[in-house]
Amino acid sequence: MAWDKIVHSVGPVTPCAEDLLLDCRLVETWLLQFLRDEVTRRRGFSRVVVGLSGGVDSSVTATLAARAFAPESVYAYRMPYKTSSQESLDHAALVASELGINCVTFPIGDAVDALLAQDPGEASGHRRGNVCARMRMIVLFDQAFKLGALPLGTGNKSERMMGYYTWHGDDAPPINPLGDLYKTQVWQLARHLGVPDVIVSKPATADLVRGQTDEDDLGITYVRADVILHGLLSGYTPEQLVSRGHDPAEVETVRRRVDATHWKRQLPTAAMVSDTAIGEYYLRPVDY
Amino acid sequence: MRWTLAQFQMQPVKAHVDANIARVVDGLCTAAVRDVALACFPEACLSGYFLQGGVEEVALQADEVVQRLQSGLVAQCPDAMIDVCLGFYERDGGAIYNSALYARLGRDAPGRPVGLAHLHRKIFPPSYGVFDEDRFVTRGRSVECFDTAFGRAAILVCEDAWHSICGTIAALQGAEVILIPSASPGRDLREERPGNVRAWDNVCMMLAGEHGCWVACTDLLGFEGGKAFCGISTVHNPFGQRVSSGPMFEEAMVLTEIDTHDTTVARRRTPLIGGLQETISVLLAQLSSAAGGD
Repeated sequence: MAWDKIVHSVGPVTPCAEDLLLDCRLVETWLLQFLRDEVTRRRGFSRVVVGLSGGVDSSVTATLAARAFAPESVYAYRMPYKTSSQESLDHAALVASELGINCVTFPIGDAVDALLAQDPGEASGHRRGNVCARMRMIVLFDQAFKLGALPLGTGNKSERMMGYYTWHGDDAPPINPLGDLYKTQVWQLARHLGVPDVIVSKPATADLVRGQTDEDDLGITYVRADVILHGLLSGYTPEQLVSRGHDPAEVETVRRRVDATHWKRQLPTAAMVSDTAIGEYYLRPVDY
Repeated sequence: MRWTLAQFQMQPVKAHVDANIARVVDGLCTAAVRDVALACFPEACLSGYFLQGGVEEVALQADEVVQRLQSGLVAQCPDAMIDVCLGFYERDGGAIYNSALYARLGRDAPGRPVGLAHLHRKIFPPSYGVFDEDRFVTRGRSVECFDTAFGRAAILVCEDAWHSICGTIAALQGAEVILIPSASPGRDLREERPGNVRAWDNVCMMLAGEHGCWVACTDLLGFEGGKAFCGISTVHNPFGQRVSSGPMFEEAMVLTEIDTHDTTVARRRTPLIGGLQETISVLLAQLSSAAGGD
């Protein structure tokens, strides 16, 4: 007698966008506790400063900070350069206004241009962008010192894994609530937190050149990059990801960016000459 | 026998042993006035978990921990009588262990000598992913049951419980209660309960259900360098059911009424441990062979 009932199992696990779906209520609780523990309990600060660009990452970070601490303890800094768009400034002001946090505008144009003017050579867009990122870092740390506050970072996992940031610039703050969330997960969280849709829906941009977007620079959308990153970090080889249906060129784009930027995710390399080398033999955690 | 268990989801002050011992003593006093028989504290609760080389600076001898708890308890609550199970980094000779002790504290009573009753050294210190224990601590070598006023007990520290053979050894020695001080870094936030908590639930459910024993898992609390210990301590009864679950991200004393007699009922209903006792000698030869022995 024939077997009429045939059941197909799911088959091999394939990294997919559904793997990156979050329980955003849990993530919010998690990150608020993270901020309170790491900022206040471990380090003794009750105020924080955030660079508020008007993009989704800094808007989410500012929202979390406003909920973790009293809104009046959160200081958001708009740090425009001459290439920054008015729309970005407006969006930053909108978020600050909705959250009731302090909002300070601190233009970096004069400082950046003065620095670049010391060198007669023409500054490329890339170089100028690095100087802007590091100037913003200086402003944040200086203002934090003045206020007795701690700077919060806003970089997401997609940027960090693909090296799409300035070393010792936007990655410098000691506390980062978003660093283990892919960009698409930050979008989920932003919607859950009620970040204005005009900010969540707009194309992500470093705002260094008018019309520039992250995805143009990276050569791949975050939606597709995040799934590939998730697969690579979960232990799948590029070949396995391609065999599971991912575009070979996109897998290669992501792999190349990850492999070329391992150094950016590390502290500076020190020559080891003893058996007490810091970070090699002498090992203590950050909160020890 | 009916008795009350208290699990303390504790957020230690990193590497401040004195402050944490004082916090434990406060907990013991809080529990003692509520007729708690046993107070359980998490893994590494006297220092925090992620210490790297710092373990050498916070490790204590087991006897010293017991003596300090006893003197603190007697000073604050002279009439207290309470047992404690607590995880800490232990120094013994030249070695450091990730250990948990069991001690009887407070007033002396006939048949209840005050002092250290048992010491378990973590057999499986994990060294993968976020963990790097093997580099800094020495492995324990044995699972041993011991007697308490409310039945036979065993301690497994955190990952020990994930290796089913540890629970099996404890059960074969007659454990009715398995105490698990743990420090489980939270991860996988795709569902309402974190993925590590769901995984622990499965481990404890299987451990309790297979061996017909009570399983109490007490988790550490607080962020350490971005890694979260979220609490949610649990108790599973000998039928494999979760009967208690502590809050997330809150220090708390979680009280659970336990009836050790339930182990008898559970083992009569599903006598898996009896079947294992009958067959273990045959399986041991296979186990030895599978492990590369003769």
